Amino acid sequence: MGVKMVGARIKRVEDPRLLRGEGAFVDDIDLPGVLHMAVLRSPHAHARVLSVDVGPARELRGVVDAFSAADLGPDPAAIPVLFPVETSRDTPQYALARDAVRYVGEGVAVVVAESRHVAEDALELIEVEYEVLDAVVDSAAAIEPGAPVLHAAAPDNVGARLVYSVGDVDSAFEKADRVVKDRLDMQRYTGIPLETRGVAATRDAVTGELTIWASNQWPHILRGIVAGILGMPERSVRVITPDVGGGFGTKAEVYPEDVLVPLAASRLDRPVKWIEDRNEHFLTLVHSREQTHDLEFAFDADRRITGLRATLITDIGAYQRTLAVINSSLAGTSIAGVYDIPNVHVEVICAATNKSPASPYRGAGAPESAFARERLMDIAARELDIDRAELRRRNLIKPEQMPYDTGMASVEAAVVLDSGDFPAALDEALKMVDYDGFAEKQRTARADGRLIGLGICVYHQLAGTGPFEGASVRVDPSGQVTVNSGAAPQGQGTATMLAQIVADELQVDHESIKVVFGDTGRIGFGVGTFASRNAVMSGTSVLMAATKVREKAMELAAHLLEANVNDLELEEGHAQVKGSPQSRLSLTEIAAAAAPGGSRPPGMEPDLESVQYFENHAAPYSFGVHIAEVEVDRNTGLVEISRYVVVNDAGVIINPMVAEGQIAGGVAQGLGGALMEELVYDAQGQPQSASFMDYILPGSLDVPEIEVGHLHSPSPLNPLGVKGMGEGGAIGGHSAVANAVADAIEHLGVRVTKTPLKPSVVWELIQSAGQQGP
Amino acid sequence: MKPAPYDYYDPTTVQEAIGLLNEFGDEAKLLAGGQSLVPMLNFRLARPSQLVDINNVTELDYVRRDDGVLVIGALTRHRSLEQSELADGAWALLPEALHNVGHVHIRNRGTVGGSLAHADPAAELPAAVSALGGRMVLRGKDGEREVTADTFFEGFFTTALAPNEILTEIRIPAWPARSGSAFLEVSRRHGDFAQVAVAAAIALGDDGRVIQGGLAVAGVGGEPVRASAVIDGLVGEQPTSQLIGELTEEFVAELTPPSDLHGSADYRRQLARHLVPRALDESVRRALA
Amino acid sequence: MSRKVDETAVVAGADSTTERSITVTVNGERFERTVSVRKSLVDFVREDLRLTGSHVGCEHGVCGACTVLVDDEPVRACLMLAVQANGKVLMTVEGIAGEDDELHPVQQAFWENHGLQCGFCTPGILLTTYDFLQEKKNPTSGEIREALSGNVCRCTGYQNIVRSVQAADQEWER
Repeated sequence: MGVKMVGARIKRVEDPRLLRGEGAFVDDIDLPGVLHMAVLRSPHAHARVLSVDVGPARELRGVVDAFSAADLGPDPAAIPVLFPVETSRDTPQYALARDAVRYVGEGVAVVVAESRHVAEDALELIEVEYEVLDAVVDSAAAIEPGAPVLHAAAPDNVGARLVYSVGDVDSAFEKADRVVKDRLDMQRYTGIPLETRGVAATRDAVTGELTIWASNQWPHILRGIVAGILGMPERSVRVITPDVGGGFGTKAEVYPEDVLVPLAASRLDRPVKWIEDRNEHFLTLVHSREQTHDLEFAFDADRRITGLRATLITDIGAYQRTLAVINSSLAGTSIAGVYDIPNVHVEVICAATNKSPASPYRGAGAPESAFARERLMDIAARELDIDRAELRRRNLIKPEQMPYDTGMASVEAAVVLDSGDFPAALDEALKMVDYDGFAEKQRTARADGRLIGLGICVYHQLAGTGPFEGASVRVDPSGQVTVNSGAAPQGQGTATMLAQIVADELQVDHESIKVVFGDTGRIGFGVGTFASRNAVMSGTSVLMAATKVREKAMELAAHLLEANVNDLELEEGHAQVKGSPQSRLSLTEIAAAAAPGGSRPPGMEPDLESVQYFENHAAPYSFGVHIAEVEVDRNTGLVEISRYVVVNDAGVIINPMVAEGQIAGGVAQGLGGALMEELVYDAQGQPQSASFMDYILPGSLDVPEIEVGHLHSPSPLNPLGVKGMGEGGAIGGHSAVANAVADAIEHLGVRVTKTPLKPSVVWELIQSAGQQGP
Repeated sequence: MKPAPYDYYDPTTVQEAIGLLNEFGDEAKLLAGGQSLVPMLNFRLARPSQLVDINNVTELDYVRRDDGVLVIGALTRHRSLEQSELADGAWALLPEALHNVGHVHIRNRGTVGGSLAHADPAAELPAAVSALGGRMVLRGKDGEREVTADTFFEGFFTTALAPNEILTEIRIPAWPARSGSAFLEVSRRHGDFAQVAVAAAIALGDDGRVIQGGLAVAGVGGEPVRASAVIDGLVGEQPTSQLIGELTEEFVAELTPPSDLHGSADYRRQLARHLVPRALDESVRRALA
Repeated sequence: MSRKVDETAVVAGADSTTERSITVTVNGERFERTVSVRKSLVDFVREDLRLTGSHVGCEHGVCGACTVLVDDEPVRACLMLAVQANGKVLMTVEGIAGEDDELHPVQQAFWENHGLQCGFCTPGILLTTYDFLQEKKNPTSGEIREALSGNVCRCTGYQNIVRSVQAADQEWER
């Protein structure tokens, strides 16, 4: 050892089993005698459910059970809202639709059968009588008077209304030298992990405990909610998140099936599983991003932004479930980005529509607000005839202003930017991409009839929210180190990262450390993996536990070596008197002594283990600058990304290889949103993009090489100095690419205010040149 | 996404397969490569009572040159035809088109006959076969008939095949020595179905004038749209850019493509306007090479 | 609808229009099983042979997570029926590493180059790569990207996958 592992570019401990095909995703877990559940889903966007008859389905050979909402009891518990606000209206979703269905895909009944094939056959036999109602699909239309109403408690279809205000925005606009405003629309799109959702459950014959395996990002929260809905004590439910094939926020949710599978397993006292198929996935996964921002900037004569005013309509879909207003709140409170804007007023209207419920997806509100802000920044630069990089630089928060309290707080955390040098990041990115040379390059290209553009996005991301995370570190008497974490990662390389932290602390080989996640049976409290929490929250809790273990090991070693603990050092898994390796004790020997019956100092409890909870409400903020260069084919509207540069600052980086992987993956999703991905509904609320034929994900030929530069502003908020960074790529990617496409074509006399910029849209924009306003 | 129940048959001869189709009528579906049918089965959009799997009818898996005609068995995999050395000259249009069909995984299973009989209006192979003047051999219980592409493709996912007939062979006629062809398409993403695809073939006389041609466009109608007027306008003329441009404009003005979430009718018309001249120019260039 | 089919009744050797007995060789091992005629090859490999490394990502042939080699050619195992694999030789991700249990150079390259994150698409990508590199030496990054274009990865942004394939090309003696 001796080489510090935190900061090292090392390969992941997770990989060998995944490479061998030995990963254990939910559907891979062998449950002998398992039954298969399938869900009958509403074909209507909005309808009254007059009757449901599961009887004929029960008759089919191979069917074991079938039930509908009527079987849930007269007063079932709804999926709870975790962060209600004062203006939140009750728009509850139950495990199965009761009186009405409010989106295509909402569950109406379930069948449990010997095979998934038979379960699907039986769904066709269930008789449901619907009275079809008018649906409302567009969020702006939904909040107009006279629109079809989804929930009686929200007669105006407003699920909640949020207001964030700092300073005196009206006065700022009155005194403004210039005002620039526009309406910016982001489309509905979402995470679409390659592994769909899945849940399996079985009762433990010995303990009676209901064990649930779920492809999910927050096992402890899932346990609490499912136990509550099923009316069971928490100790009777154990949730395990096995290998999870991507989540990106969409699996940080409690879905109806998370309740239905355990319920079915309890009813039958047999193992039951449900694996979401891709069609169900498109219909029922939480959707995200669909927001309209009416945004305006007040500029003074020096082109400083003195005021920002915004009205957001956020499309929340048919129900508010666990995270309800979170995405809307995070969009509203992140809209000023890392610009020093003294007066801000944001109003957010959460509009209910007959579509799949919305919730955070990678970036959680920040991609939406960044698109509005960074797009308007370019529009303003053009209108005010100032260079867009200079306009940004002039308005960035200066290093001497850090930490910077924006005065705003989302339902999750206060927006206090903890550390960073934003102008330095911008300048570094501009240098990497040779911004100064681009104007000439663009002139030359245009002279040749080619359309090239460059787009900048400067953003910050909430990087590790509280309120806590839990971890245990144990050295067993054979000297093996095991870490249990409340995290539930989905491919982020967290096991490697935590092993690196523990390796530094205990001076053992990181590959020898076993890291276990997502098992409520192994650690009492946990929160999970979302909001880029792992490095900050899991990392710190693991560091705390490892430190405690180390301290205890050293005290024990001092006792065994009859030395003063202050004279000892830990090297290569051995405790020794400093500089005297001849008399040293291995961690194994120390751990053996720690076992009950061993030789310990008086009063020292047995075992070499520590369970620690890192409690923290102040979240760090990482940030970055993305710059994309694109070429637009004027004949086809096709966009080719020719260059992509990222400067990222996430404080101390635990493993640069993993961090860069997160950036590249995030950018791919961001550019997918800018150019391709869209969840489309028709006017009646019928989904139009419910397969991979119609929902276009970026492929290997669509994503460019991504060049990454790092800055390091350690966070003062945790002992590691780390900040989360997994979402930044998706925030910067969307807006940098959209701005680049805009830059390639806006000189023709058009304005880009919406995404996705799919080829047909880009071509139509070019055609409209001269017809659109300036 | 599991298929509804069906009865499964896997005949080993064409005769046997026809017998089964005859017995079951239009309740039955023929399964070839399965790259389009199986997704439809999985979505339960197709729910045949009987599935007649012809993958063991190996007598339909061949590519050969017969009296100057390229003869392709219906069960020939896309990948085989894509790599066939026989497909040269204007016929090289076929491998070029196939290169745009899905991905190598798809082409390893997908069959030539399956693509044609499925008749997806955005599919590549029907356009290419149509442009080359290919003819389809359909066999039923009472014998065989040979039809042109125009007769074969009747509209969206519809062909001249009777429920008890099998497409057994595709015959691509010989093209003159100085021939060239080109296939161009725009799709949302590599391997996706075309938004618009253009298949072109041109033969030149010794004086450089066009003596024969074929042009078909996918994605702009219910079936591959044959641009006969463009070819008629070119035959006997020097294929200048100006002439091609004028003929393309006339052709595009007549098109009535569909609109969907990937693009409007206007956009598809534009893609045709963009791709047709390029495919023709490239065909001419290759004919001269 | 609705003929009643009991999917669980498995009678070896009892061929009918709804069930067939099939013989397949997978990763060098011969298996004989009776299967429902409507079972996909990937479901068969996963459920009947318990080789769960091949993943089901879309069941409509777009994502490539279920890619296996059938008679040495990569195919979508979600678009092939199990009965169609009768008599065929298959290779799944479990068969890539050698007898000695060492990672294959392709797997090793993905490990070294962080060519995977969640690992769900990885088995399909490994098999596509395995086939591609057998046919191609010294591929350009453009050729690699084209070869991989039938496999969707939602995590990596592909660039480390491309690097992994390049490294595998260098390391794998073939």
